[in-house]
Amino acid sequence: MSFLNIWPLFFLVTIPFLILLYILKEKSEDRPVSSSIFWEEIYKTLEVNSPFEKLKKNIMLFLQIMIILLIILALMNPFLKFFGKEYSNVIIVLDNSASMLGINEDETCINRGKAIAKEYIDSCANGTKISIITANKDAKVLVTSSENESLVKDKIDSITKSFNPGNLKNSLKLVESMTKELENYEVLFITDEELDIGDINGQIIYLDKNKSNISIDNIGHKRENGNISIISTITNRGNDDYSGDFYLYGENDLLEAASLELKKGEEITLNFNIEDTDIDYLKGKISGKDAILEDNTFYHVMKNNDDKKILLVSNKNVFLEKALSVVSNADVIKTNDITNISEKDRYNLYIFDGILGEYMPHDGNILIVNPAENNLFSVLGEQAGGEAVVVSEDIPKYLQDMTFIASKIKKTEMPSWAKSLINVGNESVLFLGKHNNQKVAVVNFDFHDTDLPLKAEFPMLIDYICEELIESNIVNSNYIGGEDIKINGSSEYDELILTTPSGRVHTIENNSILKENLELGVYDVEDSNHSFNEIFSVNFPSSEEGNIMDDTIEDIEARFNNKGSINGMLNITPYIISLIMLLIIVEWVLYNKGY
Amino acid sequence: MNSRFDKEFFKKLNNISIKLNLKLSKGTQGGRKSKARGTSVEFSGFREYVYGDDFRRVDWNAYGRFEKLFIKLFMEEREGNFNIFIDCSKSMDFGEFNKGNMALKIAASLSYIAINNLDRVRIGALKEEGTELFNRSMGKESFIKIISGLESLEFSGKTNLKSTILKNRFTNIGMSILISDFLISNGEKEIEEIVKYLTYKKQQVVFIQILCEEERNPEFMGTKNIIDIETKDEVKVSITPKVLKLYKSRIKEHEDMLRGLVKKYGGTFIKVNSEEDIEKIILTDLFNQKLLG
Repeated sequence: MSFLNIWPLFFLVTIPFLILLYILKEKSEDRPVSSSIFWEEIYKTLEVNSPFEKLKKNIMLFLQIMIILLIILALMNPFLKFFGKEYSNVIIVLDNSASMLGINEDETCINRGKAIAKEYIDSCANGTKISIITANKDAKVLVTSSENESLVKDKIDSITKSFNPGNLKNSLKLVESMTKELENYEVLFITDEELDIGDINGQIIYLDKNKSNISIDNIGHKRENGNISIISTITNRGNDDYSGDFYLYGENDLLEAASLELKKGEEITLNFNIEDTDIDYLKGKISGKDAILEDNTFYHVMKNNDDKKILLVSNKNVFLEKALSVVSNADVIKTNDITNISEKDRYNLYIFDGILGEYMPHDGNILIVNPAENNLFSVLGEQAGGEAVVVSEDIPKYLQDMTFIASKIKKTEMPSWAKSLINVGNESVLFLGKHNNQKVAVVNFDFHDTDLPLKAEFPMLIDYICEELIESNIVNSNYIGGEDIKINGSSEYDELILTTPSGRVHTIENNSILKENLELGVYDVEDSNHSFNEIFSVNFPSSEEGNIMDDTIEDIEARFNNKGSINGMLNITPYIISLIMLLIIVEWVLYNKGY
Repeated sequence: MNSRFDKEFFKKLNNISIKLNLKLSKGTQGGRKSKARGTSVEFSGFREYVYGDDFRRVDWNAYGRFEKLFIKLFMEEREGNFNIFIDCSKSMDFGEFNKGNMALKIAASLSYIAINNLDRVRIGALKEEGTELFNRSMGKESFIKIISGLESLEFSGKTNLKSTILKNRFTNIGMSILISDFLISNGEKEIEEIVKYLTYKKQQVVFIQILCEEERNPEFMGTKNIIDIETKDEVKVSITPKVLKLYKSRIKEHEDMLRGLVKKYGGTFIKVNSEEDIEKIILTDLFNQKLLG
């Protein structure tokens, strides 16, 4: 038997008081009688039967002590556990997705789940091998076959909330493989979402949430003619109708407000127009409290430099054009005449494919394909090609094994600022370097003279080259919980300073990926000299995780009744209360009989 | 003490005595018809002469007619001797309807009935120091004395019934009526000795036990310090329904014991509740026991 509460034990102090009351009450009253002979006889008879008679004499006291003890027991919320006892291996799979932040009775599902997991461990026999898995978008094994209950509990305590989408389905394959060799096992799934565990010998504990949930799914903006038009999508994902207000803030200043009336499942799009101001981010907020509070606020960082511009100077190189079309976040502008380039037009990347003139841009980076004579490096002429292989480890792993045949290549003198990535023999056919603050990449062949465009790696190679050459933001502007946040600063920084929405400051490595986003809101990234500063937002994945189950837990359990549920735990409080009532009735009857 | 014997009491008493006599089979010749045949002037009947009969009582006229010897029988008139002993211990002074008062009323009633029938009544108050005897009295004028004597009686102290009774001398055959609550520890032996002694002394034994409602059906609960008003003994008992049940059954056992003992020696046992009406006691309880008739 286990208890949810210990504090009612405090009431044990009432028992000595009760006994004291009885002792005080014991002060007997004098009662004159004509003759005490029969009373003396009875007294002697009672003494002969002593233990039982003494019990009867104090039966009311015993009953009252019993009632107090039972009330204390009932307050302690005791329950019996039937599961987990006879298995030598148990696996606890705890749903750690964002939806587990849902609240019921002021406690989040994740915390309730952790408590249940620990109770389950308590109910296991000594020597049971316990494994713990958390699952959101990925399943993660925290503990494998440990017999050390306190270690396992510590691990459970260490599970933090996550804003990742996902559910336990992701963990089923892992569980299946873990249990494949085990004969005597049980798996306990703790989740808030409907789950079919197939043939796994397991129990599912469904955690209920409040029935209402409203979420801000998105905020977007567009700058036009000195105005900013803002769009926001709000959805009622709960089982109740919603009425409340939506507030739009520019950073911390209220910009707009709107009343909302949303039926169950209804989605609404709100449009606002504000004058263009110098705000960094917008914040949307919904009034009221519901199951998931995290999706009632949405942050939208307003950076206007997401799209990059690439200028392609080429004579209809279809291969290159196709490959560039998959480069993300870039607008490709094509021209076949170098004289069309105006000094005013600025591009992030200039690609010269066989065409290279006097003009050499001073901003942006440069990719030169099949180079002609130029003032960056000397071109020594053409020569027969061969098999091209990757020679640099800078090239990503998935391109390392790439080879292709070039029939002819340009012989160039590789400048000192450059580093060769791909060679044909000893000749570099792809080199990359930085010259006068401009990144320059050179491809020493015409794509038409190779079988490279026929290779699957071709678009990846072009994407990699463009990625190297396009100066991008350090981070994107807006993320949804669970997305990898790639910190992609300029190579001159080793470390960057990240400030979380709650104000905590971390030092992070450049080019690292933030996987565990433990806070929602607006983050701040800067270098140690404060020479630049970027912000980005992380929001709740409401479209994946904000939905409240339509069916009640009872319905789901009825559907999967063979898989059991929380039934493994028998709450014995109602039985104790029945017993208390019974004892009170007995006491009442005895009292009326004059005890 | 007027409350003991009021006008109403005497009215009832008069009513009772007109109808009833105390029945007595032993005693001296007196103003009552004995069941025995004797030497009075009142003719009763004849019977055949048997050897040893008094010659003088042969009816010679009958012999003349029938040539058989007949004896003439006459109703013998005897004077009754009634000894009424009242337990005057403190325990009798108890009850909302006082047991002592009832004892006195019964004693007075029986005295009145006896005196009315020209019987001899002796009242003995059994006290700690011994039996306080009223003058043996006969005749109606003596009833006044008896009443005043009874009125002055006080119930106090401890009384040892056995030793007190055994000190009494009984010279005549008669009836001994003992009025008490008989609440005596180890009572069986003592009471048997009393009955034996009285029977030996040719007394018709009548025990009248008086108990009050508080003794028969005590209604208190919880832990009580029970004090014996006579002996001052104390006993602490937690009184529960079970204990009360035990007590009542003990009272009943005691009564049965008394009844059995008295009956064993040919006596009469009458149980009286102190709250009962004296008329009912005399007319029903005593009459039913064939004590009166």
